[in-house]
Formats: sequence, C-alpha cells, structure tokens
Amino acid sequence: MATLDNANPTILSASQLPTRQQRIPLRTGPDLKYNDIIFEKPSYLSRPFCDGQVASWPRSDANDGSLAAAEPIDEQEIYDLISTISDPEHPVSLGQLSVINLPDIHITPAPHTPGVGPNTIITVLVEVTPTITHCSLATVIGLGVRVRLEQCLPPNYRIVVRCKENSHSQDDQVNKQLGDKERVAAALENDTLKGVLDKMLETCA
Amino acid sequence: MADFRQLALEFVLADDEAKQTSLAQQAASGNARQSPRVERSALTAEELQSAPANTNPVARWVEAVQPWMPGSNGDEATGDNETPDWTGRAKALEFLSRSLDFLGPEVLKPSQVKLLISFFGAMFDVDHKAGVLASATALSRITQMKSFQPTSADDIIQKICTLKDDFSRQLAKTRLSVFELLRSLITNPAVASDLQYKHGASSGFMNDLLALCRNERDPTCLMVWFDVLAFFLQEYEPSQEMIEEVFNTFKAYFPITLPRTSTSGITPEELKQQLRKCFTSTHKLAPLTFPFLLGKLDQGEGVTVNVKVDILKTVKACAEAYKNPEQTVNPYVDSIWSSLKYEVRNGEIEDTIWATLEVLKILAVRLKGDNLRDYALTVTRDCVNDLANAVYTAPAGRLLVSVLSATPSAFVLMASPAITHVKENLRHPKGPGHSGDLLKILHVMLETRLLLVSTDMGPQERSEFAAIDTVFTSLYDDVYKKPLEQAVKPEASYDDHKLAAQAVQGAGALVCQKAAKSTAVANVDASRLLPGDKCLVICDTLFSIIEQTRINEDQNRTTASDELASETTKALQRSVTSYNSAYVPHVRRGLDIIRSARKTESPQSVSTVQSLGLLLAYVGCSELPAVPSQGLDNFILITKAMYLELIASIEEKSSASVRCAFTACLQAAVRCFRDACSSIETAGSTALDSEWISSIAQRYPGLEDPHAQPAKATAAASPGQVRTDFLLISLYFVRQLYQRATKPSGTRLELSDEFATMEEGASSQLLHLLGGLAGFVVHELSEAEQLSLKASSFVMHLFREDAVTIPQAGTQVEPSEWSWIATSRLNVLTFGILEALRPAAVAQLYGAGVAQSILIQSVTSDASSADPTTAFVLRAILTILANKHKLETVEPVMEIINQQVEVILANEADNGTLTKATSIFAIAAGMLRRYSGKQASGLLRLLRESPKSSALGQSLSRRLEMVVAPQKPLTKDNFAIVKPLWMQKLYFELAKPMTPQALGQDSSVQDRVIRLNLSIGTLMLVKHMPFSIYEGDAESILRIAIFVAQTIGSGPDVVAALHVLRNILVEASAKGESHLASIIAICTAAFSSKPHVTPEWLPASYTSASADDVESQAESCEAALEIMGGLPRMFESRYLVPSAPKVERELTLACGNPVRNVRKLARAARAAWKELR
Repeated sequence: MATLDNANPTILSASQLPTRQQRIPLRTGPDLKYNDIIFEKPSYLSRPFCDGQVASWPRSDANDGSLAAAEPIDEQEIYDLISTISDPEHPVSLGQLSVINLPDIHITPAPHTPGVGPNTIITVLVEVTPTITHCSLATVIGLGVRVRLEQCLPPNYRIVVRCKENSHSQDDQVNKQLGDKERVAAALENDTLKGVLDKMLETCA
Repeated sequence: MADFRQLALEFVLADDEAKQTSLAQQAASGNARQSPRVERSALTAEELQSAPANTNPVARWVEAVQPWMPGSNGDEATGDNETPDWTGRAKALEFLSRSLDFLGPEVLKPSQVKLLISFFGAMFDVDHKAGVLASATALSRITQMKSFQPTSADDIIQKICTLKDDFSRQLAKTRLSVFELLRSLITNPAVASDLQYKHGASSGFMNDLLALCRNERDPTCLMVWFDVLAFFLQEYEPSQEMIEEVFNTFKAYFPITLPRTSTSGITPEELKQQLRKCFTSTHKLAPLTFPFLLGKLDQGEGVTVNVKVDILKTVKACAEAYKNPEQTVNPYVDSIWSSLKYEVRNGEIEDTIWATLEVLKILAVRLKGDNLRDYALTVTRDCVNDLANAVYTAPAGRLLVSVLSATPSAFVLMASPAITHVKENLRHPKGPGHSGDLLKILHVMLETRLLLVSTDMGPQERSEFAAIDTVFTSLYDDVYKKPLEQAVKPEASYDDHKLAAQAVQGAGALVCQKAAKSTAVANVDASRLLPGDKCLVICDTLFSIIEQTRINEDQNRTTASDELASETTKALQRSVTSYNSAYVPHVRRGLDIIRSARKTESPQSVSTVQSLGLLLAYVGCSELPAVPSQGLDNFILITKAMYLELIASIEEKSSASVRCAFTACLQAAVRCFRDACSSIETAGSTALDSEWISSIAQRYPGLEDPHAQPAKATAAASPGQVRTDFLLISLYFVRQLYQRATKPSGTRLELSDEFATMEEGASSQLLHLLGGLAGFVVHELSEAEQLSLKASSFVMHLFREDAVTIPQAGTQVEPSEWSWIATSRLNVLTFGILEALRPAAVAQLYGAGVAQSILIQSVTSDASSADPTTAFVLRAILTILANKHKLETVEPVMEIINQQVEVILANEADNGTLTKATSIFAIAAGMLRRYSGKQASGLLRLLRESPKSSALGQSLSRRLEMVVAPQKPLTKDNFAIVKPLWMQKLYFELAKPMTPQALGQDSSVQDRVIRLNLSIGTLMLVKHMPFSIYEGDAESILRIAIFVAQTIGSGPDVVAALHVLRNILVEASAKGESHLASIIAICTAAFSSKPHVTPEWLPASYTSASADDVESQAESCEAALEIMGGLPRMFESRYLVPSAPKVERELTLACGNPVRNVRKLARAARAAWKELR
C-alpha cells in the first residue's frame, strides 16, 4: 500500500473503550484485611464434606452463582468480539479508531427477550463507521467484521454488516458488496484478500 | 640419582597413549592415581629436593630440556627447511614449570632462583612461540619462593616487555598467565617499594607495560589488568603525567560491555565494577574523571540507558570514594548538577532517574560547611521555580528530596525554603494533579524528617535541626486543613477525594513527628513535635473523613473515595499509635454511631457496625505504641466495647447479622493485636496460671461490667507480659460468650434460648464466628500454655466448669454420656476449640475417655442429626480426633469400628448404615493421613469394599472423596499430623486394587452397576492426587474416566471424570491416542445440548440428582471444552481430521451456550479446530 487513506486518525486509549460494566470491587483497606478469613465459608460446609444440600452461607453466596449464571449474547459481547480486529492500515484496533462503536450494534430480538431459544433466528446488525468518507478499505473492514462474527456466533445468528449512513461517500456500493453472499464468498477465495483478513483477525483473542 | 633427561622425555612423550595407560592403571589398581605427566613432575621435584647439593641438581634439571631447545642439535641443525618442534619444546618447558609446582618454597637457593629467572625471562625474548605460557607460570611460582629477591621483579617486567607486539599474538590463556604474573609482582609490597625506589614518580616500567597491553580485549585478562592498574594508582605514587597515561589507557574501555556470546563466565556487571575500580582508585584522578564522565553523559541521543546508568554509577562511586572532597569533588559539583538535573527533570526512564538521584544525594553527603550550603542553594534555586509548573513539579520534588534527605545538615538548609515554596504554590495550584504532587512532596519531606530526627547528631547539629521545627508545626493549619475539611463535606468531588487521599498521608506523618531536641526524653508526650490538642484535632478530622466516606459507601462509591478511606485509615492508625490519647475519644465517638445504628435496625446498620467496629479495632490494636501497655489498654477498651454491644444486641434481640458483625469485630481486634504482638519473642515453654480466670478478673476488674471504667494494664508491663495478658483477656471474653451461648441441662449443656430461637442459618454463622474466635485464641497458645491452661477441658465443658464435671483420667465413661458435645447443635463451639488444639492437648481428651465416647457413639448410632450442619460439623470433629491422637492404639474404639465395618459390609442397609459409614469415612480421613498400618486394615477394607454394596455403593463411592480431599482442620497450620507419603500409600491401598475391578478384569466383580460405583470411587480418590502418583496406571484410569462419562452423561461424577481426563492428557497426552474417538465423543456429549441416552441397566438415581445442578453442568461444559480446545495442540491432525466436521458443528452450537464463560471456551476450541489441516 503506497499511501495511506487516512494517515493521521484519532486513536482512543484502551481505558476509553466501552467495557462490560462491573461494580467497583469491594474495598480492600487495611482495616478489612481479615474480613475474608473471618467470614470465610467453613470447610465443613463445602463439598465433599457436606452432601447434596449445600448449606447457604451469607457472605459467600453473593459471588458464587455468577460463573454458572445464564447471560445471553448482548451488544457488548459482540463489541468485544469485533473491536479487537486490527485496522488494515494502522497497527491499532477498530475499537480504538471508533470504526466499531457500541451504539451501532443492534441485536433483534433484543437479548433477554423471553421465549428466545436456541432455534430462534437472531439478527446482528453492525454499522461500521470508516475513519474518512472515501476510505477504500471500508469493504475489507466490513468483510473482516463479518468473517469474525461468522467464526464466533452460533448458526442461528444472521449477520448484517453495513456502513453507517453518511459515513462513506459510496455507502450504498459498499453495503451492496457486503450484503451480497456470492461476492463475499468469492472474496474469501482470493488469497491476497484472505491474507489481509487473517492479519486483521490475528489480534482477536 | 634420577635421570632428569629420561623424566623429561617421558613427560614430553606422555600424551594420548599416556591417558589410556593411566586409565588402565587406575582401573587395575582401583585407586585414583595421578596422570603420568603429573607423576613425572612430582618425581622430578622430589629428586631436586633430595639430590645432594654437590651434584648440582638444578643445573642438570634445566639441562634436561636441552634437546628441545633452539641452538642445540634441534631445529636449526636439522636444516632450514624443517619446522622446529614447537610442541615438543613447549612440553619440555612445561615439564620445568610443572616441576616447580611441586617444589617447596625453601628448596632453591638465591643463586639458583636468579639463574631460573634469567633462563625463563630469556624465553620471552627468544621463544615467544613455545615458551611464554610455561615461563610465565614458572616465574609466578618462582616469585613465591623464599629466596626470590624483589629486585629481580624489575628484570622480569623488562623481560616481559620484550615481547612487544608478539604479546597480543599470544593465546588469551597465555596472556592471562602473564597478567597474573604481573599482578603478583606489582601487588607485592616488597616489589612495589623496590620499583618505586628504582623508577621514582616517573614509573618508567609502567610506560612499557601500558604499551605492551594496549590492545587487550579478552574479558578475563582485562579483569586482571584493571586490577593491576587500580592497584598501581592507589598504592604507588606516580607522577601526574603517569596518572594521565594510565587514565588514558583505561578510559578507552569506558563504557565497557561484554559480547553476548562471551563464554568467559564473567558478567558484564563484574567487568563494569572492575573498570569502575580504576576510576575510583585515587582522588588524584578527579580532574580527569569528572569532565570525562560528564562529557560522555552529554553526548546526547547516542547514549543508551545501560551506558547512562553505568556512567552515573561511576560518577557516584568516584564522588563517594575520593578523599578530600573539598578539593576533589567540590570543583565539579556545579557541572555535575547542571548536567544531571535534566536527567530527572525531563527524564522518563526510572533506572536513569534513580541513578541520577543517587549521585546528587552522595554529593550532599560528601560536602560540608559552605560548600554544602552553596550546593543546597543551587539545588533549591533551580528546583523551586519548577514547583510552579504542573509538569515539572514531581521531578523537582524528587530532586529536592534526594538532596535534602542526604544528611540532617542538608535537610536544615533546604527544608524551610522548599516548604515555603510548596505552600506558596498550593495557594494557586494549576490543577488537582499539581496540588497532589505538591502534597506528595510535603509528605515525603515529613517522612524524611522522621527518619533523620532519630539519627545521631552532635549538639550543634541538633540545635540547628530544632531551629526549623516551627516550619512544620504550622503545616496542618497552612496546608492540610483545607483539603481535609473539603473531603468531610458530603458534596466533595472525585478530585477532592483524590487530593485528600494524598493530604491524609501527610497529616498522619505530621502527627508522628518527634521534636528534634527531645529524642532521649522518657515522656512520650513531650517528645512529640505537635502539641496534644493539635494531634487530637487532626485525628478527629481523619475520623470524620472516614465517617463521611462510609456514609457515601452505599450510594456513590468511587475508586477515589475507596482510596481515601484506606489511606485515612492507615493515617489514623499511625497517628493513634503515636498519640495514644486520641484513641479513647474515637472509640467513644464510634460507639455512639454504632449504638444508634444498632437501635435503628436500618438496612445500613449492619454495615455501619461492621465498618466502624473493624476500623476501631485496626486503628487501636494493629501496632504496639512506644509504651506496650498502652496497646493492651486500647485492646481492652475496644474488645470490652464490642463484647458489651454484642451482649446488648442479644438482649435487645437485634438481628442476627448485627450480632455476627459485633462478633466479627471482636475477632478482628484479637487478630490485629496478635499482629502487633508478633514481634515479641515468646518463650514457648512458659506455663500459664491454671487459675487464670480469677487472676484476670482480679487484675482487670469490670471487664464485662458496662458501668465500670475500663481496666488499665500496668504501665511497666513487659512485652511478654502484654502478650500473655492479651491472650488471657481474649480467652476471658470467649468464656463469657460461650457461657452466653449455652445453658446447663442436667449434666450436659444445650444451646441457650437466645441462640436456639434464632433463625437456623444465622445462628449457625454466629456460632461459627464464636467458635472461630475461640479457636484463634487457643491456636495462639503454645503447647505448654495449652497444657497448663487445660485447654482440652474447654472442649468438654465449653467454659461452664460449674455445670459440667470433667471425668478423672482412668474412670470409665459411658459413650452416650459425652456424645452431646459432638452431636448437638452446639458442636460448632466444640469444633472451634478442637481444631486449634495441639496433639498433646487432644491426648488429654483421650485420657479422660471423652474422645472415645464421641467416636464410639457416632459410629454405633443410627440416628442422623435433624440439622444437616450439625452432622457436617460432627464429621469434622471425628476427623480431628482421629488425626491428632494415635487412635490405632485405643483398642476399644478400634474394636468397635472394626465390628461396625463388618456390620456395614454384611448389611444391605438403610439410612442409618449410611450415617455410620460416613462417620467411619470421616475417621479414616483423619487417621490415614497419619497412619495406614495393620490396625487400619479394617478401615481400609471398608473403604475398598464399600462401592460394592448394591444398596449404598452409589453414595459411599462418592463419599470416598472425603478421605483425600484437602480440608482446613487437617492442615499443618492447625497442628494436624500429616505424613509425607500418605497420599501415595492411600493410592496403593485403595485406588490401585479398585482399578482392575472397575474395568471388569476381576471375575468376581461383573455387575455393571458395581463396576460403575468402583469407577466413581476411583475417580473421586484420584481427582485430588497429583498425576505422578497414578502415572503407572494412567491408561487404566483414563479408561475408567471414559467409562463414567459415557455412562452418566452429566453431573458431579462426570466433572470428576473430565478433570482426571484433562490431567492425564496434559501430563501424558500419548496415553489418550488410542482412545481419541471416545474422548471426543464424551467431551462433545458433555457440552452438547442433546439429551444423554442412559443405558437401561443404570438406576435412575444416578442421573436424577444432577439434572438440575446448573453449577456442575457449567463446570462439565467448561472442562470438556478445555479438553477439546487442547486436543489440536496435543495430537497430530491426522488423528483428529476424521472427526473434525462433527466436532466443529457441535462447537458452533456451543458458541450459543447460555453461560458466557462456556461460550468463550467454545470459541477458543472452535478456532483451534478450524486450524486443523
């Protein structure tokens, strides 16, 4: 690539990116240093020393269930999946360049909707915002997002990737390309393009 | 008379074949012999020593090598075309030098030494190909001889110098021997004085040496050469020209590095230090080193971090080592400062900044009087301007502190102007970060003062130090008051909290300041810098901040408010330790808040009680003040308050969680005070007064009386006494609380009405907290203390010695008589103490017959407790009793256990049998960690056979996990006895015999359900063992794991199977190769949503229990996905590709699993399988 489309984009720092909102962890001051020991659940009330009916213990119950709790795939999870994709031009992620933004991810039906089962068709719409309106790589970025989501989501998810309205001078063209299954499949056959995509997805955990 | 020629010839010829013969000889004779060459040399030396003088042995010995020497019938005579025999000649000379190694230092006469010196010395000139190494080694040896004349050293050096350019062509090893010869000569005091006498200040010999060694690059040689140069500069008195010459030689090496490929065994740091030694060798170098080093530093961009640090360390070493700093260091102080200040001011790399600060500090240490004043003034002048700039404040602060912390004098000169400027800038800060940096500088200065004030100072210095005290006394009002008061306001912002978090640290350090004049004053109050009322005001404000952050805690907690709370707590603790009088009003103030919270019973009351109680406990008890008894007073004050509040809350029927909070605070106070006492040396064998209750009640009256003033400890109590009293007072409170929790009922005890009427879960927790408190106190007692206090009796009467009579040792005890202490709900209290008892104290329980009665009752009783918690606690009690005493020697109990084993194994039984069996399992868990000999065979048999029971096998096989699983009462910290190889023994006794049966290889066990039980049992045992124990049977265990997972599908058994499977695959993946298809199938089944098809023969009870267990479902999914994700890494793709399409389909579906962590693992596994080709 001889010249860069956008040589000087705005880059966000990692702390500015949206993350799953967690409550501030409990304070661990010097006065509280023995709290964990004092309120620890006694060993006789944990498996295998107690059977079946595990007795409840006031303090430890709060964080016990969280690991096994059901949490549907939400916008933040989609964001976490695609915001780490590298930009084809710059060594930073799409999230840091604000190409991918949390408010531009839409899931229908919304997560937590009652009655949604593993066989319900769910549509994920991601609107990509190129850093400049004439970005020639918008289609590549869109394709990267699409490939990443296809690799990560279960089969009942339908993925739609579009350019955000008015963010690109030729957004209808780009959208058409990204929506065309045949063209997407053909693009993935192209070795050069495949190489670019692999490089972009290398940084995804 | 020996033939030296013959010996020399043998030496020269003894080479390759010599090694073989020597090996053969060594093998034949069976004892280690020296190699023939060494033997020849030794023989020669012996001959030289023993031969009669008139036969002139030395001359004959030297002549022995004549045949190999040039000019004999050797190389030159054989014609010009032939190459001389260098190797032979080198070996011949080596023969001479090696012989010298074995020669005593007194053998050679002066004339002989002289002859040898000229002989070997000539070699440097005439034979630089074969003779240098041997000559240098020989001369090194000769210079150690008694008859060596120091005057010959000069000759040797001159001879060496004749090597000239040939020197650099020698091998490194040869050069090293020459350098070592030079070092031994030049560092020899006699030689040194001779050389100085001969050459004077011009040191001409050194000129030649410098020319000779100019191009040395080998690190090992350089180590010696630098040593020589450093010694020369240090001990000789060379002229300034010579000094310059030498300096020019070693400066060329600076900065020195070592090629990464160097195999010399010398580290770059050693080499750097050796070179640094040259720089620091004499103060006469000062005019050369400082300009040179600063010049190197100012080269700019080209200087790497490592080089910069090296330069700075060298500057520091020079400034530290040079004598007469007024003349040597002072002239360069200004240039050093102006070069170095930017390293800190604009520096980014912490290593360089630290090295720079060290240099600047050492300058202040070395300078005195006016010079120091000038330096301090320069530093202050340059830095204070930067304090007004938010960007440079922090570096300016570091510069200031590094210099003023050097000595009390520097502090006196700089502290006052620095503080004035900090204050000035705090009035007009450029932003919250700027204020924070300024406050940090002040805080560090206060900490510095605290350190300096206790250093040794002369009277003059101390009075100067005291003169600036006024600068500090006004600091609170001038600086800290505003940010602290701002933080107390409810509307304080994030930035206010951040700033206050910095300010409280300074305020805390301010309270701890000692007055400069009075470090020796006995009165603690008079030795403080601030007056008492000011300290109290500061402590009060700190307390208000904590109160305010606690109110905020529920609504708008931020990281800044959390940081503020923690920092304020630390500052308050420090302040109270220093100014102890502040503690009483704080406890009073805290208690008022706690009481009103307790009475209102609002949702926040529990957190109020807990946070303030813990705070007061930490502040007053976590460190002993200067007078240790004051610490004990604090401890009594807070524990009594918490105890009385707990009693009041029980009487007022406050909620269970409030009572728990008070108990927790009480325990926290005890734990904190234990930390404070941890530095006290204890004589472990001291016995305590067995009449401790009356003694404590007498010495500390009114401990449980709400109206009595808190008792005070004797002011002069020693630290040891403080510790003992602390433990006994704690025990006293435990006793009161235990009495409160129980009531007598006939000859036994039961839970008091107040506890019995509480909701079950809450009362369990409260009892556990009480038990934990008792356990902690008992745990702190040494064995002698436990025995002298009869701690074992606490278990029996739970501190109600009036109601329960303890049986005398040797009397017969009815089993049912004592079982209440383990089988009723108050067994949690028993357990707390028992867990902390040492084995010797547990032995007393056996002595009284109580332990036996508990054990017998629980293994014979069918009745299971109505309350499940009570049953679980009983198991833990049994485990402890079986572990801390040699149960196998208590025959009556063992007999009954063995009988019960027979009954259980014979009986197709009911719930009662299950209870009994579980009790025996608990006993086994304790006993088998300590003993697995003959007496335990009955127990082991039960454990082995129990899975075969058709009725109970399913439950019992799962309970086998109890025997191996780690549990807290069985840790060494709780005085349990754990043998090193117990787990290995258990594996061979239990799991190994079960393995073939589980796999159906034993014809006696063919029932599939029983095989399944045995399989589950094996997995439960193996689950907690390291792989190395079952490595030999890994394949069989792998098959067992597959069998269980295939049969059951999901639930805790499958989780255990998958864990074991994962362990085996991680440690020895090859074992899984032949089972790969099955492994993939069971893992896929574990995370797939498809229902599991149970075999018809499997009773429904196996799967029904686990169907709703969400936790184990998620756990098995995770374990299965981890295995799946790892398979592509462990196995070649050809094994996996056939199943890839199906696996990928399932993994794709698993990416939609409701549990987030499972989805994450599924995606990772999917990516790993996608890469298979």
